[in-house]
Amino acid sequence: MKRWIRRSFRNQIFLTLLLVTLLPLLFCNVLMMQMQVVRSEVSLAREARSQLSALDEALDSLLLSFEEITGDLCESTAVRSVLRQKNADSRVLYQLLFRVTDDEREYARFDIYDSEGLCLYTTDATVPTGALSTGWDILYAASQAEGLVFRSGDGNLALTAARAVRSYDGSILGYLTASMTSENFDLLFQNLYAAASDIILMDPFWWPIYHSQPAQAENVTESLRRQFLAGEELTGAGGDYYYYASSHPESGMALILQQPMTFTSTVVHTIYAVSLLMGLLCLLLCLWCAWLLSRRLFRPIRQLDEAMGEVQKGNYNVHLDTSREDEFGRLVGSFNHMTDEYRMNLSRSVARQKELNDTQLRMLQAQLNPHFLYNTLDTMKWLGVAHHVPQIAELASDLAIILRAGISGDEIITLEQELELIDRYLAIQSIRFEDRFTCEIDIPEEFQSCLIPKMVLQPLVENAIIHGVADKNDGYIKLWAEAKDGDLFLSVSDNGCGIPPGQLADLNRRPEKDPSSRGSHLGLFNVNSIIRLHFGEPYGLSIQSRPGEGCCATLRLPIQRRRDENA
Amino acid sequence: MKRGTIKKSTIKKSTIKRNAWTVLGKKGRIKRWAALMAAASFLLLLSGCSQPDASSRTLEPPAEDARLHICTSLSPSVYEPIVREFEARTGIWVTVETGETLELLEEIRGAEGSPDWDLLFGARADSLAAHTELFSAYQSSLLEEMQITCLPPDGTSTPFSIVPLVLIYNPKLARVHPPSGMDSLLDPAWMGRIAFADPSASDASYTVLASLLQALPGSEEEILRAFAANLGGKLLASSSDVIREVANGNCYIGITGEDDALRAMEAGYDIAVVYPSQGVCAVADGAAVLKGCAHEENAQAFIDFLLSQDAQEYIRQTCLRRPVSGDLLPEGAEADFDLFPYDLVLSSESQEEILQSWEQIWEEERQ
Repeated sequence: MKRWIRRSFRNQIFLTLLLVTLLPLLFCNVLMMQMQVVRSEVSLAREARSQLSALDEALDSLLLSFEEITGDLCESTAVRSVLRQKNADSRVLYQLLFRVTDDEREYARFDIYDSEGLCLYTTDATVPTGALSTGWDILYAASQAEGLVFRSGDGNLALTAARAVRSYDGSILGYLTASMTSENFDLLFQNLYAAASDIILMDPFWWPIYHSQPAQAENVTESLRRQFLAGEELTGAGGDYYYYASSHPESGMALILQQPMTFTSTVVHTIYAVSLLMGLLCLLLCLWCAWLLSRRLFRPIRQLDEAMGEVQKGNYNVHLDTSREDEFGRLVGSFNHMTDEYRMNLSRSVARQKELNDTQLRMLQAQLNPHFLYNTLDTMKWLGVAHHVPQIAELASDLAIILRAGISGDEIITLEQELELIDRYLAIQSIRFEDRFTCEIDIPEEFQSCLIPKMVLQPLVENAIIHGVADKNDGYIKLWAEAKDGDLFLSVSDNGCGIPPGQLADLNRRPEKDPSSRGSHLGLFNVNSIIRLHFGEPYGLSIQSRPGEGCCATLRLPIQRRRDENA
Repeated sequence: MKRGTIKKSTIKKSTIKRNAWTVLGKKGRIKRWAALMAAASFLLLLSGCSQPDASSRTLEPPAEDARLHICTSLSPSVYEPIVREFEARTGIWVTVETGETLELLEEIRGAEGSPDWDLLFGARADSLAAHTELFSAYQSSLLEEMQITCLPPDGTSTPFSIVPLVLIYNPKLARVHPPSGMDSLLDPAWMGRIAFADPSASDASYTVLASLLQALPGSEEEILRAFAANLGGKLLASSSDVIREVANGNCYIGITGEDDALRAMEAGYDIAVVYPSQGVCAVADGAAVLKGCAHEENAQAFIDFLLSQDAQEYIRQTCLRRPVSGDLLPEGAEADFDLFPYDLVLSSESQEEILQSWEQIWEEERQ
């Protein structure tokens, strides 16, 4: 990760953007969400507790009044005597019954059963009918207990409370019951809790007695009983409600308030999903910004980097274009200015160097005045004539001609002129070597007018004489010309001692590639260089030789003639 | 800093400032971040902790020794009043799991000596006798006073009511020639119109199969094949569906427990009951304490309660079942019929074998 960050400037920008946008966003979202949840939970809990205590109070007071009413009736002599006689038609008892239950009749129905479980009196609008088993359920429980007992009712009854009426000797005379339907509970609890909430009343073993929404009752009460028995937090069937429970101390019944969560799991999930989506959008935005920023930063830097590389390779002709006016624009401008300056400096120093060379050459030429040399040679010639030594006169005359040709301004001359110089040179050398060699020149007339650089044949002839035939008494040198592939081939061969193979390879090597060969064979090297410089790469000098059998040096030149002659 | 003497003072100032910032930049920034993160996590922690306490305030779940776990194939309308009365009288909290008897027995066998439940309630005596190794013997003290003929000899289960198997039919659809005996189940006239639950799940259905084999002439395979063919590929998931299927006309006839039929008639279903002419197969319904259960004493207390006079009376009057003791019959039940000599031992011993061949034949018939 650290390496990934450090590897690229783009990654650093991306991470920075991410930190400054995404983190605060997510953090704020989570914080706000949690605060909202806590706030709602706290206020809901407070509300629920107050509602639950009001409900508790209502239930407690009703059950207390049941207790009082049944207690009073049990003690009443009228009730006892009627039950003892199993008299079902006592006005006095009915009047008593309706009088003592006056306040509570809207919440409950009060019945009087005889000891067999037969209903004798009721506050219900109907005629008292029906019977209850005394060996089962509520009447059995009442017979076993001293006070009031509570059971969930049968059929449409939600809750039944019963108390046994005992005679003075303790035998059971009958039973008093108070029964409540779901509608009675609706009436009792109405306006005591929020409309969205629901009330559940459970018996001491957590079987349902009453549910304000009977349709949901079964599912919810089963889950609640299971959770209560397992000792778990009460979450009901779906988990979208809070449950607040309190138990009624005397009866053991449990009153449960079911309150809907504001932030149910689906709501929370939706909110977090939206947050995540926003985060994702942020992430994409960060990526895009990072890419854009880094591209804007990085492109000029990369251009500069590449240009620097070119400069390092020696190409000073790089120029960067930019339309930017910021720091990067100024940097590119500085770079361009720098390379321009450098280029100008370079050309200035080259020009200066050239000027220096020219000056030096002029100074050399001035030092060795050719007219002085000509005059001296002329003097030597006339001295030779005057003193009848014609060889000296001839030598001086030939040398003067060669010297003039060497110094004269023309770089290119005809083959004829070059051959004239060769003649002069051979004349001098024949005096020197006392005719120990013969030279045959075989140049067809058609090539006489061909143009060649001056003094390129002379070094070859000189080479043949000095290195080839100098030590022989019957030296033979041949100079000839031929046309091949449209080019002119001029060859000088001798019958001398030849050139050893190693040296031959050195001589045939291209001069620019191995300047070390210049030292020992300066003449041949110069000839080769001059031809290449004038006519290009395919032309030049090549030498064939076999040791002891002489050698042959061949010049390859293009066939060129003077224009006026062509015309 | 060493650029020149003229601007020395201003340069110095700026460097000092920059130094100060870099010091803050390295350590201070980290510290600040750390503080921020700590505050944030603290806030989150706070908000996470301060969830309102939704659990019961003063209510405590019952102690472990005041609990009982029951499994049963009975319907809630039958078991719930009994269970609630038991709770009220003993203070023992009961949880009930319902399922088909043979499937429950398989699950108990799968638990290998540590079953989830303590008591199997409301299973046919032949099915109980076929799985005696899953139960621990209990001889209730109440049994001595009661004269019960259908007691299993090893005391692994305790019968609490007797349920005769009766034929039912829909009088709207089968008035002219109503079914008369067990052989009606093989009568092609009712082909595809017989309500019968899967015997590999329902023990009542198995008892029907076993009584068919014992009551009718012919080899086991012939009878099973004829019966399977007569069902016409129709098999109900649960034995409690039999009455509904006959009453709503999907099936014409069915075979079910007498109590279910009587209660359905009491509830207003238009069905008619026929006691089979070959004699009525009356098998006891029993309860058994599971071997290795967690609340054995409470399970025994439940069996005692079932045998108590009050409970027997309730079973007779409200469940319309024949109690194991006494001569009183539920209201509407026929007293005058021949009892079929159902061989309980044979039925329980061959339970696995009969069910296997039934399944095989049923698969073949269905194809």
